[in-house]
Amino acid sequence: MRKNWKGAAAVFAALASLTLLVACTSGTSSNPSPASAPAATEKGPIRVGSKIDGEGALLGQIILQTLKANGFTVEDKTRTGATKVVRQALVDGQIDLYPEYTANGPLTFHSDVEVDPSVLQSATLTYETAKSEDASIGIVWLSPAPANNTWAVALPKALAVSNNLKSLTDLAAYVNKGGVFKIVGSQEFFTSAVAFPAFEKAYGFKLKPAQKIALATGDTAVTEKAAAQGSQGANAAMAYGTDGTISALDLVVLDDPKGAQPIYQPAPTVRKAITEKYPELATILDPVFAKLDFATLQDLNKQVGVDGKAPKDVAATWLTAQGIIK
Amino acid sequence: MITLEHITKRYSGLVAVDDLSFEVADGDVAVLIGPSGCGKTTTLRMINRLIEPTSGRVLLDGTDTRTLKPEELRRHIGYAIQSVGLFPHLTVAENIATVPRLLGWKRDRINARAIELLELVGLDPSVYAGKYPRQLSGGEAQRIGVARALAADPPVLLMDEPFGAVDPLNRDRLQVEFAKIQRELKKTVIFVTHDVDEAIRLADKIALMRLGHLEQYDSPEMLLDHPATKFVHDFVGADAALKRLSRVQVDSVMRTEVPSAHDNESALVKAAADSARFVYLTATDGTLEGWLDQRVLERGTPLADAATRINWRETAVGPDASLKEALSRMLELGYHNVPVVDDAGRLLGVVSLSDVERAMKGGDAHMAASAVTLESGNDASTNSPEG
Amino acid sequence: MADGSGHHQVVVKPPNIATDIHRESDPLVRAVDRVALSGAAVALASGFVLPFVEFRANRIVEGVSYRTWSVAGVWGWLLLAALAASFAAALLPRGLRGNSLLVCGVGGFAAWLFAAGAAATRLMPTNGSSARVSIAMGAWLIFLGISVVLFQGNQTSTINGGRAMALAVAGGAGVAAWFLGGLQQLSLVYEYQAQSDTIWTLTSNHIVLSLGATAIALVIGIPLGIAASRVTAVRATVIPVAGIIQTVPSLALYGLLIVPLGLLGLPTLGTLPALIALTLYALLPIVRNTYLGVSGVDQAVIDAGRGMGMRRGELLLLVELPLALPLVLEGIRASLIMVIGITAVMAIIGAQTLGTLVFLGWGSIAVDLVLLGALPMVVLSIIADQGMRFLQRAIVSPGILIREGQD
Repeated sequence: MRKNWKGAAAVFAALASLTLLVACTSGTSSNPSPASAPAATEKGPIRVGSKIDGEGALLGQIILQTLKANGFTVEDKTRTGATKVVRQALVDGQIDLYPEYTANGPLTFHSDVEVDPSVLQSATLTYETAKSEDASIGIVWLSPAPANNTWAVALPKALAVSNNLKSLTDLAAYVNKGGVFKIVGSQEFFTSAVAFPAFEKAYGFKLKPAQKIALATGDTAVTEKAAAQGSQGANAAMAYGTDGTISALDLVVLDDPKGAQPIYQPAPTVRKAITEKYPELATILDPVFAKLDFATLQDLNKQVGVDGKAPKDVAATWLTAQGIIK
Repeated sequence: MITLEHITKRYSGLVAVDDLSFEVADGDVAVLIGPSGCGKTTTLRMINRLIEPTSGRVLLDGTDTRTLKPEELRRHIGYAIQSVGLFPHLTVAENIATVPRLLGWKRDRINARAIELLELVGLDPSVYAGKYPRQLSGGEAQRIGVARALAADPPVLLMDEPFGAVDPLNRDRLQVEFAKIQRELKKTVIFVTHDVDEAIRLADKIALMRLGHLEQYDSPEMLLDHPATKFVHDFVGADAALKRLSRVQVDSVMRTEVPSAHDNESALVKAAADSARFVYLTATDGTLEGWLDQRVLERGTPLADAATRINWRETAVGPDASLKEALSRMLELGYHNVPVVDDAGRLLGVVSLSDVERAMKGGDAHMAASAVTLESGNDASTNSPEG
Repeated sequence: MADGSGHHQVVVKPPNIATDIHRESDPLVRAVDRVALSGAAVALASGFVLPFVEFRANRIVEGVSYRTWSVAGVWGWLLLAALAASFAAALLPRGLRGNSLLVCGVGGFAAWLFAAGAAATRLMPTNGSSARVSIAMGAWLIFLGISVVLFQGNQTSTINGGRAMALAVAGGAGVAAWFLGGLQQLSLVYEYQAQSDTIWTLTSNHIVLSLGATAIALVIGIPLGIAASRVTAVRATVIPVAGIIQTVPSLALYGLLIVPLGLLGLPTLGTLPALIALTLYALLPIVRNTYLGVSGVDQAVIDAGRGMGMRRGELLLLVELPLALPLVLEGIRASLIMVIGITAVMAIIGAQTLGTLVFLGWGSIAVDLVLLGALPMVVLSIIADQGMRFLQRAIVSPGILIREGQD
């Protein structure tokens, strides 16, 4: 019987230590509430989140390291999750800021509010709409980067060259002529009125259902690779403008001369309580984001997505080159 | 002293035990017996309150058991059951230690007690203490079950067919051992069985039950000789006389003054001196080796070849065997006399057919008749020990 | 123990049941080690037929495959030779077999490491480009085959301390291949280097979340299981409900949690909802096995315990739970392994686990990044499995230990 007492004791001890471990870990990782934040002489801690994808992590690291270089204590919560997750985390106050795309304000977070289509054609109006709509729920948008990471159509270079396809106008003519075309994209890309249907409407073409391959995920690396490999007969892909993978896969992006797509510029979104406490955040981050133009972002994304470098290292190298951190 | 007063148990209208009253004196073995469904196990389980009576009460030495906590009560009543119910995850020693542990004995005392009990039930502690139940034979498990019930030295022992799950041979041995232990420990035992032979052999009192009520509560002799009802008569069976024999131990009737010698020559001298027909031959340490029969010599067999050499293990019986066993041995071997030897084979005495007859005297007419039958068959000229 | 009582001490020798049974299924008794033979055969065939490594100009483009013999130079041939030797060793008579298998296995392992390194060194361009060399299907199968050979060899080897020597040689080969053999050129290593500062956090989060959920499920599930064995109404509700929870896909379960969590003002994302969802998943095996274990205890044993004056609590602690322990531990093992898997999925709702790497790799078509997340999970599962088996041997009474290899 002694043995079994020992056994029971061992089990309970293991249980107790497990529970303790969980308690401790959740204790250390739990977010200190603003009320219990350390004395004002110390700046922070600021909990930086990001989307889970490569560009998200990269922008998150850029913010994180910039803040750190400016004397803030920071908590790395980057790669928080998919858009809904990270946004919810910000709303709930589990993180203090993360980079978001401007058009998601009117289109995703406040989709119940009608917006004039012309708003989405303008980078400034899109940003202002997102900013004002979020202000009501205590979220502040800092200045966006001059890079548009919107939806685009990418083709294998060979196809584009042989058919002389440079823009969506060319594509519409090619499709309407009965050219072979099959595009891979996310479910949302094909169903959201502002995405692919907006292209069809603006350029006057209409794909048959058999010409679309819809995936559950929205990873453009997946769609682009499918197009590059021609899997399931695909010869075009949903892409994001700033994707770093496009050139690596020998794809080209078709121009959107009519501006059919909403404008998705990345900008830090911050809890209002934090901007009120540290108003200098804008003056610190705005110049950094101003430097993130289309070419820069695409190159940085390539280093993460194609070369497989850690977003942290890519961000550090770039920030150092820009003289933002030493 | 255990007293059952008007115990009744009903299960939703069905009467399992009906107004049962009897007493068991200290140191007695009371056997509850009856056909299945007669309420004997229910009665037993009402004594340690595993089942609560619907009405009536049980007194232990005058104390109403309802005034005690059931667990406290049970810790002071030994309990052994047919399926043994040894804890499979505990060693034999730990199984035996169950109640002492519940009672908070010190470890040294518990260990000592486990060793003592294993020795009492005839199992070598150094071999068995560390074994697990699944490594035991049926008979060994039953022995451990009894040892466990005895662990805290309870004055009262409840046993529900404790030898029910073993083969007849082992069962016989367990009964002999139990009788021996009981003579030594003098527990007050209530014992449930469906085996009439077992009841008659072990009981001081038998409570014969039928359909929840008591048919007769008496000594085995009274039950055999004076069955109160036809049911009792039918239940104990027609061979009451033979059954009585299982009540009598060989050592209570054997003749101990037995002519014996170490060799044929001195046996011959001894036979002449005692005018005895049989002289037993023993080794110098007293181990039985055979006998010399005068009749064989009279037929002209040379003295050197006249002795019958035997293996005592096959021919003799132990002093604690029942007369029934002795008789069965005689009939089996065709002898009129069975030597009685101790564990080492040393000659202790002899039981003869006429001793068996004498033990039967005082029985009923049927039994007397059977004795006569035996007498008439007792013709020395046709039934030599070598027959 | 002071033994002044004069009674002699009984030396209780616990019977070595486990060893006895182990011996019955001992591979030694077989004429040919068929397990090692198949392992070596699969490895050898893979070495010749399947690609050993895959070269990509960058992480996401289509790769070019190379076979062992064409890419790894002398190391490739040495590897194939070691595999052939393992095959032959499996056919040797008993006395020689174990040691030969062990030697061939260790040799094969070392050759594998160096062959992979040599292939990577040969294929990788010298300038720091984004090219990648990945371990391909054939190499994984060879690795598996070598593991089988090593396992069998270790079981039957008669060399004293053979296991320690094999480990030392394998470890030494690993270190040498890392520093001298070009192992660092493999894509998996690049992925590791890019994630080196997060992977340990993710792994420890994964462990804490899995163990935490299982521990909470234990604290809730064991009493529930006991209650189910006592009260019909509990059994009739708890077990079907736990069963239904198991059938709900993990994300759907999380979806169902959002509303109640929101109403309670609790975070609907991250660690807490993940912990709750995982706990709910972990419940069924624990509750069900506790219920089965406790209610399966022989009625005669219960009767004996009650008859000897055990109170309900004593009966539970001293008899019912120890007897149910093998099943309960089995339930915990099942829960733990299941939860280690589902914890990965929880990355989607913002719980930072090894699943984060898997999704990241998946999203960026980086197979080796997926592996970087998946391999530690495999290791965690194996550790959990072996740990639970060890615990079972350590705390379950030998009297009731489930006989291995006999069920």
